[in-house]
Amino acid sequence: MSRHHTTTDQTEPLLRVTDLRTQFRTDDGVVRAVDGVSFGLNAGETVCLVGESGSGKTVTAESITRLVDCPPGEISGRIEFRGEDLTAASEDRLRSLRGAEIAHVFQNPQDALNPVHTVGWQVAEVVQIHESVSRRAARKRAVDLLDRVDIPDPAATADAYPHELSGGMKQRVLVAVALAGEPDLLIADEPTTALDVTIQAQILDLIADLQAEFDMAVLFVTHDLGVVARVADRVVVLYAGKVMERAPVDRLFDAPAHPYSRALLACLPGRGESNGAIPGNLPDATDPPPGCRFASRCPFAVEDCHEGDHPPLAPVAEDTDVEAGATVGDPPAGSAPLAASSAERSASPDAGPDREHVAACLFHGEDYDAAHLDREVAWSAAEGDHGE
Amino acid sequence: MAGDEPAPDGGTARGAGTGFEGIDWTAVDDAGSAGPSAAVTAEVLVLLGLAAALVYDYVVLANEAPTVGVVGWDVTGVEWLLVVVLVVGAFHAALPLARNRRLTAYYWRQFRKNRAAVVSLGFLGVVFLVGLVGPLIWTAPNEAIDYAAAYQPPVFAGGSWEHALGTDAQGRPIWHLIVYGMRVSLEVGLISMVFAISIGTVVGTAAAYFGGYVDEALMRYVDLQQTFPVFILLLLLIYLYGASLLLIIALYGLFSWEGTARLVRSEALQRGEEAYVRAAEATGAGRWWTIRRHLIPNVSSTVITAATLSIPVFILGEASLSFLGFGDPDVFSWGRTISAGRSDLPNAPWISTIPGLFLFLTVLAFNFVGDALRDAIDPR
Repeated sequence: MSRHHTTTDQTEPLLRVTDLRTQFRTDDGVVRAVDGVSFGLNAGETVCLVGESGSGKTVTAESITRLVDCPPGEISGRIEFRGEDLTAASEDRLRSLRGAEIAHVFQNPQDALNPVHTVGWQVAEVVQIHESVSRRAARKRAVDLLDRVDIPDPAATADAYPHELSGGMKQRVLVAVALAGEPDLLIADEPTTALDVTIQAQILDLIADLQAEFDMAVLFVTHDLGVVARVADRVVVLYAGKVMERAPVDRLFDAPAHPYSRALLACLPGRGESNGAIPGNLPDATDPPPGCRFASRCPFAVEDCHEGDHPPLAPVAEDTDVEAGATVGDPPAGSAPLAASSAERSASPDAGPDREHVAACLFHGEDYDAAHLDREVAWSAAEGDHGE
Repeated sequence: MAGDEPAPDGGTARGAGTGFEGIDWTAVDDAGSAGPSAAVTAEVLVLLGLAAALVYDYVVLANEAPTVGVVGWDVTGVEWLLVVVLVVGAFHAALPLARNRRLTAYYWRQFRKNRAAVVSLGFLGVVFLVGLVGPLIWTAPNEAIDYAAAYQPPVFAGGSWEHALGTDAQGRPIWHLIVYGMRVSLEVGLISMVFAISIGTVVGTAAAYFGGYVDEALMRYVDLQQTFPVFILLLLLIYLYGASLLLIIALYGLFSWEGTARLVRSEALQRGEEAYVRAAEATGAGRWWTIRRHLIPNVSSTVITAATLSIPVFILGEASLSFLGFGDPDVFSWGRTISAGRSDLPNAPWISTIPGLFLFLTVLAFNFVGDALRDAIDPR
């Protein structure tokens, strides 16, 4: 645990993803799974990627260490990890990063453990991959790690096979596998989705504890806003491969700016009047319609929303009553820097890099009044207008 | 078992030794581990020792004297191969089973459910032991020729206990022929199986994992090999170079792995999609590491079943060749004994039927064991 370092370096985030595009060449055309996503992640911080199924959040997470199969996948843009561009890194370099610097926890613990090896072996394996240690030392480390993820009787459990453990235990083992290389960045792709609610809470607490202890940054991929509220420092809302909104977690829940974020939040039980679903479907990823990706499902959509490119990320005023467009310059499409521009800072005086709040919606741009989004709209109207 | 093997055979035997080491891929581990483990070191040492003994046998003794003087055993080329196969088997099958007692016990409980397979395993164990040490105990059939004792019936057909299974036309005890036939079957079955299964597994997993052009090239070669008339090649080589057991084994081993390769490929394709393979890659495992540590163990049930079921095919194949007269004239294959007894079927049916019974039971036992193993060791 020698790599402990505090977040002294505020200027350079641990991970900075800029204009990430991941596309897959298929027989039906080029699927743009991730289409210009930008976000940053500081050491020790938790950022959630949120979106519905097919929004590109998993592909984004797996593009970082190029876990997506290439070909058919193609990754472009910049992924800077401690200033090193991973899109240009060799497979060897990425392999040495995976597990050691950037670890993954996957969704389904039932499948992510190899049925023919003991769980202790699978933890020790990661230690052996990245360090020259004896088998015995690796096993000892594995038992320590199993102990650290609160597995009872770790020495005996190390000799158990995956089918002998419960789902929650397996996910703990996978967390231990991820920790084995002492990573600085943990990418957790829906780590609790396959677990029941009580176990979910335990795993989330465990990850939070370990994050504090190891000073890890966590990129948390989830569709569950309840989980987001619990773990996130900042949130990136994805839709159809585009960033819809980036916000500190309190801002997202208190003052969601993008209509899509509002719709997602309205789907939470006990919030909003929605019946728990956003009408319509994701646009075709091979041939998305012009304009805002969400326009066809957006109740506020106007003519301009269906034209041109996807709207650029525009700063959201701290108070939506304030004239949003007055002081703000237009950042280029999809590449808004993590560190807020001076213009943004002036829009919300206390905004540091971590307080950035931007949304890709015309109404937050120069020419529109964001207050327009606050009017009452029946969701079904959107369906009627644009007929999904 | 005269020790007049030509030198090239020795070379082949040694080449096979390094081949097996290569398949173990300890050297290919690019993912960096803390040096070879004790078991790997021991295995390499044993194989090196064998290589040294082989050199000693062919250079110093030059086939003038028996290799192991005490028991008068002159180790031939095929026997060298068998020893290598047994060493590899001990380190890669027996040792892991002994280490993972709990898993072994679990497999055994599953296996035990099949009564016929347990009996078959017992029978095969006897065949294995007798085939291995029997030739050191009982004299070679040709040294036991005794025309005075020709055509003695087995004890259950009114014969004497001196020749419990009777004798053949030259007075050779059938039991001796059976024992030496066991050795031949052991050699053919095990050595060809190890060759065929190793190549098939490597080709199958590599094709599945790398995909693309590698898959295409390997699988088209498999197609080619499947259509290639190996039997005719075998006859041609026998006519050109004379029949030798080593040639038969090598041809079976090198040209009959395509079925295994196909099976393993399709299994590995399925396994390769599993989340744990991705998870292994996400922890920084390299390609060979992933193949060796994650893919191959998970196709092992397919491989082991294929291996068990391929042994009787090879044994039967060699017996058929010998029956037809294309076998190695120096070895007492069951097929050859059966063939020799054909003309005496009316008056001395035991000469053909007893070896035939052993052949039948051995093949049947392997099939039972293969089926039970498939049920027992399926990891899912």
